[in-house]
Parts: sequence; C-alpha cells; structure tokens
Amino acid sequence: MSNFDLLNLPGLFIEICATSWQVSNGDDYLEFPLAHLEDGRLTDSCRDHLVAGLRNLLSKKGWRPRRRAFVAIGARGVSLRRLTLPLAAKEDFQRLLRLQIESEFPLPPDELAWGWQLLGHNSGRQEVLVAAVKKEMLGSCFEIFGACGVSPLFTLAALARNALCPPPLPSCAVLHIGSVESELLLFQDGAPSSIRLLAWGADSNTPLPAGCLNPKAIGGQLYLTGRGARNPAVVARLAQCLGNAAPCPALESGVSEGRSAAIAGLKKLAATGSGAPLLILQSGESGEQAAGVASWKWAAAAVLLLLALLGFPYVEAIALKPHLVKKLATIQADRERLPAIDRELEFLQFLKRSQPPYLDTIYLIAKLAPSGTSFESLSMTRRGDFSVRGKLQNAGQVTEFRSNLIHSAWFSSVVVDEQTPTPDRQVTVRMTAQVKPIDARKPLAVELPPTKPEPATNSAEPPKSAKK
Amino acid sequence: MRTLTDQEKRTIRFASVVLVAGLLLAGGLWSARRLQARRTAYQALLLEAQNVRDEIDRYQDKAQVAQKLIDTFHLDPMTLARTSLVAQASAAIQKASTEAGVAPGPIRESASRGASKEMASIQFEGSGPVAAVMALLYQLERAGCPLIIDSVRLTPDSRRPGSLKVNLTIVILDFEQWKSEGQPSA
Repeated sequence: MSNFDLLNLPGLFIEICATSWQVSNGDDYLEFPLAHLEDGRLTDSCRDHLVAGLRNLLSKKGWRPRRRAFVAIGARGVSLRRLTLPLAAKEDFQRLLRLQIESEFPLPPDELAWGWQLLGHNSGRQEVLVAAVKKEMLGSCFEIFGACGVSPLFTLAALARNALCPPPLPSCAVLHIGSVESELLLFQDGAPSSIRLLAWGADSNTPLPAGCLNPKAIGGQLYLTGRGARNPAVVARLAQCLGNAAPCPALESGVSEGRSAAIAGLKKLAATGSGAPLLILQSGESGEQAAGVASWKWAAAAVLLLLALLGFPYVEAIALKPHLVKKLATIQADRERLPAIDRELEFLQFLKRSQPPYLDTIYLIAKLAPSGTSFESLSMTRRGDFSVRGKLQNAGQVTEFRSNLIHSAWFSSVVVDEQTPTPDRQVTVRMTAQVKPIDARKPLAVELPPTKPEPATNSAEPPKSAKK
Repeated sequence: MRTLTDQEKRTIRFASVVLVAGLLLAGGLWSARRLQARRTAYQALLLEAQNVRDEIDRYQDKAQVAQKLIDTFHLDPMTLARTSLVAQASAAIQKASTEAGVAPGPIRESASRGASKEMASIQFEGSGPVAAVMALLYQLERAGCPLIIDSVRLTPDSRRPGSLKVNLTIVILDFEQWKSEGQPSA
C-alpha cells in the first residue's frame, strides 16, 4: 500500500524550508515566511500566523477527520544512512533496526524521529535506508499541526524531489540550490546514499567551497532544483566547478516559478500512486498518536454512551425516589381521611334512607280519596305504619278508596278496621295500612297546577289541602 | 535493582490488565446489583403509589355523593358537636316551625335508647294551616341537624277551624356512634 492511499481528502503537501513554509492544498498554494529567534525557534507571532493561515486554508469542519499532510523537511539536522541487516521476521526486524540505529547514530532511537526504507535483498541480508532527525527539531511543527487539526507525515524534501528525476535513475546526485544554502543528495546504485547541506546558495557571492562537489561522488549526472537551477550564472559556476565533466540538467520543467520542487515530487508520487514508497519519519508524538488519541476519545465516548444506555433505567430510580417518597407520604396522609369519608357517607345515606315519605304519602292520600271525603286524623310512623280516620259519602266510596290505595302500589295490608254508617247516611271509617319499602314503591307522578309558580321542592311538595 | 526483561514486563502488563479487568468486573457487578435493588425498591414504591392513587380516585365518587347529600341536608356530620347537638336540634326545630308558620306547642326531650345510634328524641306539638304543616315536614329534613321524624299525627284543630294539630316524634341521630364504629376495637 502506498502511503498516499491514506489520503482520502484533497492532498495537503507542505515543505518546510529554512526561510518559509510552502503549503499546497488542492489548487491553493501559499507561502508563509518564517521569523526565528536567536536560538533558532520560531517567534510566537510567526507561530500564530502559521496556525491562523493553515486553519484558514483548511477551513476544517468539526465533523471531519483530522487531515493528513505530507510534510517535506529540509536536510538540516538529518542523518541518512544505508544499513545492512540480516533477514528476520517483522518483529525481530524492528528490534534489529533499533539496535542498529542505536549503534550507528549518536542519539538513541527514542530521541529521534526516524524512518526506514527497504532498498533490497542481497545474499541473505537486506539493505535499508534510514533517515533520522532529532525530535526536538520537529517539536514546534507538531505544536502547529496539532493546533490546526492536521496529522503530519514527515519525509525528506530531498527524497521527494527525487521523484522528479527521469527513470531509470543512474548513479547521480540532486542538488537543490536555495538562496543561502543548498542540499546535495547522492545516489549510489539507484538508491540514496548520503545527504549534505552546503553553505552556498543562489544569493551567495562566494564561490562554491572547494571539494564539496566531487565529480566521482556525483557520478554521471547532477540534477538541479530550486531557485538557482534557473539562473544561468549559477549553473555556469557549477559547471566550472565540476570541470564541465557532467551536464547540469534542471528538474524544474514540471514546477511553476516560485513553487516547491519537493511538493511537486510529492504530488507526482500521489498522482501516480506507483512511486517508490516515501521514507516516513516516525515519532512518538506524531500525528498517528494524535489520531490515536482521537480514536480513544471516540472509544471513551462510545463507552460513556453505553454506560448511559445501561444506566438510564436506573437513573429514574435514583433521581425520582426522594420525590416519590415525599409524595407518597402526602398521599398516605390523605388516605387516612378515607375511612372518615366512608363513615360520613354511610351516615348521610342512612339519614336519607331513614327519612319516611310523609309528604308523598299525604299527597297520594289526598289524590286517591274520593270526592267529599273528610279526614279526622292521620298518623304515620317511620316504620311505615299508616292509619287514617275519616268520613266518606257512602260504603261504595270506602271500597273505592280502599281499591285505590291498593292499586297505587304504595300500600300493603290495607285494612278497614271500622266502618260505621252515620245518621246523615255517610260512613265513618278507620283504615290502617303499611307503606311499602322504597324499593317496592312506584314513583309518584306529580301533577303541578299550571298557574302556580314552580315550587323549589321535589315530589314531596306538600299539597295545599289535605282535606277534600 | 535488576532491570526487568521484556518477558517479565509483558507478564506484569498482562497481570495488571487482568487484575484491573477483574476489579472492574467485580465492581460493575456489585454496582449493578445495588442499582437493581434500588430500582426494584423504586418500582415497588411506584406500584404502591399507584394503588393508593387508584384507591383515592375511587373515593372521588364517594366524596361527590357525600358532598351532594351535605348540600341537600345542609348538614356536615364532621362539624357536629355532640355536647350541644340536642340543643341545636331543638332550636332548629323551633326555627323551622316558626318559618313554616306553625305555632309551636309543648316540646319534650327524652334520652335515647343506647343501641339504636340515637342521641335523643323530641316530642313536638304545634298547630297551623295545612300548607304550613306540610312546609314544616319538608323543612325539618333540611334543618341542619341529623333529624328523623319518627312519627306524625295530624288531627283537626278544634280551636282554629281550617288548622291542623301536628304531633311529631323526632329522633336525633348520634354521629359519634358511626365514628367509633369504624375505629378498630382494642
């Protein structure tokens, strides 16, 4: 898998030079000049300017993943070695490589940002190209990229420029001519062998230091990149220095004026996808680690969500129980009043049931009595005993009155206790009866006089006259 | 101190992971059990509250019926004072008689029979027009006291033609006996 396959967004390529950062994001291309302190670190304002510029260029959305950026760094502080290792399994190979780095480089691997590239196998051994730089030199870069939400993948600008060389690559050299200093990358047998930083550039008035360009080491070809490659005077000086032994072709044909050859090389590798894998400098605080932190954040969020999901049914019990207990106590206090309501209702219903229908009975008697009847006494009790004494016109009316009482369905056991004719041909009568219980009685149909105002009482409205 | 080999470091790391996982598992199970217990208790409490609320809801209907009867009889049993109830009832009867237009006659009070939840009985005699007597019978039920007319006797008033003499036996109910009936016996 090529390293460029990791990019799933428009390519972000950065070259970090001694004097500027050049950034290419899709079609956008920006150059940020650098300002250094005396100890070589970037000034705060320069750092802020870089962060703001990169953020503005990337316009990062919160939901998007961190952008990966291929960052080409200069040769300052970089060591490039070709190491030969025995064939080994992957885990053992890493261990062997670390041991070899520890013996070959002045600093232990943990203090270096280093990467390797397999060059080939030869009689049971494998040749590896290793590049390393002190972690401290990339420290400020990590801070800036971290602030911009970018995961950087560091490689060497010189190796990236190599992608512009026409294949097949002979034993040669690539010289990048900067304004004040130059980078020389030497190739042997088609692979990088060493890298050097020359204190000489396109703006230098001094001649090229003697011996720094050995035609033997350069081999058959010297390719030029950078600003000086387009300057005929510089090229002439180089040719003079080399004794016109090797031609000096420029690799800037595919590079626009003022653009970085390293970025062009990275883009070329990205476009073809079949280029030689880049040598990526690994560091303990690389973007991979930042991405790992982000992954851990998502994992933690997922775990929290899961815990919330599992705990949600219990939250109600924990949060609402005190409130429920308080409310239940109030309800229980109200509940103690319920028997009182029961007793009160029972009492009132007993009172209602026990009220005898005196008025209804009197109304019914007045209605059922034949015309001309006069009552001398009437008595009733709560238990339903009813007796009446009166005078009717004749014996037939007595029978009629008795029948009416029976048919009214209000009375049972209607008995004429005494019936005595009087000298004026009337009949004095004494009757007793039993008022039926309320369930057995027929409801009364009350006939109200139309001219009278409607009384405010119920069917027990007292009749105006108890005598007929 | 001797430097640990990679193998020993791996073993220690593995043991630490297992130990932490075990502790987390045990703690998780303990927490889950506690939470489940709390949830079960809460559910029981919720069920109890629901039952109590249902019970109270059922009493809403009873309370409405009771209120209607209170309005009908102009009587709230909870406000009755046992010590002055007979006096209040006697006064209410006389007031109802006067308002109805019945001239009150002799009034006799007698103590009740203890077993019948009655406090006292009153014998009332009066006379008045038929309509007034009927109005008295009607108003006695709504006099604001727990009164039940035990018996009625109507006879003509020989002194005033067109008028009736009314003899009433009125019973005063004792609500305190209803109250004590609902209380648990010792």
